[in-house]
Amino acid sequence: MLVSFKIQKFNPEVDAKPYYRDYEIELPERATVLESIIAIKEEIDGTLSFRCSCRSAICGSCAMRINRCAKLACKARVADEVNRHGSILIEPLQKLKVIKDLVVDMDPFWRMIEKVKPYLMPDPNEAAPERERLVDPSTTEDVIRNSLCILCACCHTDCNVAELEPGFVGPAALAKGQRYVADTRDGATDERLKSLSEPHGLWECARCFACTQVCPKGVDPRESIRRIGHLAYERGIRSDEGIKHAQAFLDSVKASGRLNEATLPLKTKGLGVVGMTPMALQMFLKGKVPFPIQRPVPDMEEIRKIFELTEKQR
Amino acid sequence: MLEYDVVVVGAGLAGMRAAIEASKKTAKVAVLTKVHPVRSHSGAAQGGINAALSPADSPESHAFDTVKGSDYLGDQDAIEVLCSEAPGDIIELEHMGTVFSRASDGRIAQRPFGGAGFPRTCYASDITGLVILHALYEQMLKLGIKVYDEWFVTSLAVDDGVCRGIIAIDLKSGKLEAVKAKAVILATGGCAPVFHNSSNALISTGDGMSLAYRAGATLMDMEFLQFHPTTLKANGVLITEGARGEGGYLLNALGERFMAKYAPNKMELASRDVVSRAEQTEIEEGRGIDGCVLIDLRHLGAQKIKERLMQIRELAMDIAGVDPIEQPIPIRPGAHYSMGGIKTDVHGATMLKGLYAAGECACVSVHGANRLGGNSLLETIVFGRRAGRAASELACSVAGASFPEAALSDEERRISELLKREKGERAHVLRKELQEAANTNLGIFRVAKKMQNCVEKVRELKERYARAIVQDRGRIFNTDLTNALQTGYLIDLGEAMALGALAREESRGAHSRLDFPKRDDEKWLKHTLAYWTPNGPRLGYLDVTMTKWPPAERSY
Repeated sequence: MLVSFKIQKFNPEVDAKPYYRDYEIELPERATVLESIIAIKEEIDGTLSFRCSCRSAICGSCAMRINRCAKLACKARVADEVNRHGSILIEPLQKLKVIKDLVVDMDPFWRMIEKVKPYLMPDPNEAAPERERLVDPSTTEDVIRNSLCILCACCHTDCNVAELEPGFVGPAALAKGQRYVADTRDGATDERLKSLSEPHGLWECARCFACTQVCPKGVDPRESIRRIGHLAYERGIRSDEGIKHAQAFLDSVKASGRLNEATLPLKTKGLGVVGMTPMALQMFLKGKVPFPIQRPVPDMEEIRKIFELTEKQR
Repeated sequence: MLEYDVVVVGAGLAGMRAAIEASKKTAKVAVLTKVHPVRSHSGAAQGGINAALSPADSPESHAFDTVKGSDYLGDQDAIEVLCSEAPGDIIELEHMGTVFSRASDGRIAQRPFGGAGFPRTCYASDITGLVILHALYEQMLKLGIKVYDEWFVTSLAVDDGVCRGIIAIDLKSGKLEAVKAKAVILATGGCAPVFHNSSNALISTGDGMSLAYRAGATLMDMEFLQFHPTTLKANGVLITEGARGEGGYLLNALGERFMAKYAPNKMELASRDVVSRAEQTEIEEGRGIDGCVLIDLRHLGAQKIKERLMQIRELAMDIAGVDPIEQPIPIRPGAHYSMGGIKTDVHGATMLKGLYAAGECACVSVHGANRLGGNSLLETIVFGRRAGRAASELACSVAGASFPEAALSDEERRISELLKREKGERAHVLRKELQEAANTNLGIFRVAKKMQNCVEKVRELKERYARAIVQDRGRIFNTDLTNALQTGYLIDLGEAMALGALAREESRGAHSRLDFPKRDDEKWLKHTLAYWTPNGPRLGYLDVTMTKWPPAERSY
């Protein structure tokens, strides 16, 4: 099949800014995007630059934006892309500086991974056994699922929060964090939970599931984030605004079946809410501030049952 | 100029294990890698890592299986080191935080693997390489070991018969840099991409083997290239031996478990050379399906496949469009692993002073003529550690010597010339012709005439390579340039492989000749050595080290 590609190019030695170049190439039916760009490099444009290695979705090198979604080029099929989008647009991963063409500077991503202390920290008071540490096989599910992460940065660079808040540690680092939180051999669980709950940590996640959607390995970073959040809550690590916000949601719905948007900022930010006064005033003037006292929903019994059921299922 | 005690080239399992060990003795350790450490090809290793952990098993039994698997070409002293140190190394990996699948009693789970008399392959589902790679990388972070990622080594700096450091391109800046070192450890992996559609990553281009060879270290047993029995037809990507370890069947077009004819006792779990030959015979005798045979996992059930073979299920679905829960996967033998490499002793020392090697790029030799599955990861850890220790001890014992002044400017001239060359062929054309020639003439079954063709073809390619061009003339992240340099490495190694194979007039392990179908211990119980000369490799031979196991007939 003859396929058209539009690929973002940028060579800092020559170009003032990135531009798009069109290519057309004959490909076999089951060609991957990686096979295609290798063919383009060999047959048309030797300057086209990208990273690649394993061809089997295990090394994480060839992550790039394919039709505006972060993917591994070796896993994306040309025919699927053409069927869905008509043509193929390839751009570098978002948010990271472009070094050349599709090659981005991954350093900021690696720094985020390093932030979660991604190594085993056994309890210092326990001497290492002579043999292996024993691990109940029923506890390894989370560890193995998160170990599938190949650090390709697809989730991190397509994360909607990281786009607005570059300090957000991001879904890949949080999944790595959960890998160690869930590891029964680790002795620093509380320390990890505290650190992961700090500002720019897990509570900054907007629960949009973009990470889970783009992950090429089925790691489900959003689920990992939920699990560390849950565990932090259980262990009483509740100082971050994010968890107070979640708590305020819960309390409000439990009390009245409704979300009290007027009291939410106060419960989340405490005295810090003073800083929001100008915005609150503007909202008030435009009639956007709801009345702080709310009538409960008519059938509170239903609400109570929902809570009961949820408790039971935990 | 950058200056270190120990510089490790390559950041797969062997390289990182070496760096971690070296850093215990000396603070000045750096790792250079042409990719980021977690991109290394060790991460693609699926099935597992061997160690006699069970009281019912023994290092001696592991060593015997390895010697037999090697078709008696492995050096038995090195094999004893490998197998006796294996349990300690696995425990150490576990203590570092490596994730392993667990048995019901909480101990590290072990599965059966080919050629092994006991289920001694430790694993983490079918992502064993990935979890160890990440564990070692994370230890490097914890220890603060300096990594120069995306630095591409173009040559070793040798002065007065001693390796003094390396010359490398920093890909991000495009600048050529010299790094002075008291000891250099090469851990750059294999060179199966001498063949078309090998199971290896595109980055596995034998860089270290070729660099060492050109610098005066010796290559050993290069003709022994393992064909893995189960690779996907479309692109050679691996289906783990664990699939057979968990009970998978190999079937021909008639639906027969054909291994009964070739290895009635071990069946699918005979050693890899035996299984690959059996498959190739079935295919050539017309009992294949479109150039493949089938691996059938359906009887294992969905749960076992999803739990223990999750990655290969994903690969079979993505690449072959087949879900192994529903259908058998078409597979064929594919070039996979280089038993040969840079000759080292059991401490990783090469024939060139100051230069060490570990992992697939090295030849200790523990695999001899055929490697057992699960022994390659083990080799990276045991001999990576040993090379790291020996190199750091050397670095502590010698004073800093001079770096050959001209090394950097000579290399700058060579690279500039290549970048400026106007007329000629692009290197990938040559690489494809090399791979085609290797597949046609140097495959599972070999004969003199075809190997002779291969030797001639490689010599022609060498000549054409001297005039090859690159299209990208820039400096920053020039992968057209690195591809061209890698092709040069592969051509070097292809020549050593073809010549070594042609000279060895017997069949042993992975080297199987139709014109000399028997193993010939009288004449050929010896290693092939290859020394670089301007006119191509000069071959030499070396006796195999025997300790306990005299050569015996080999059947499975």
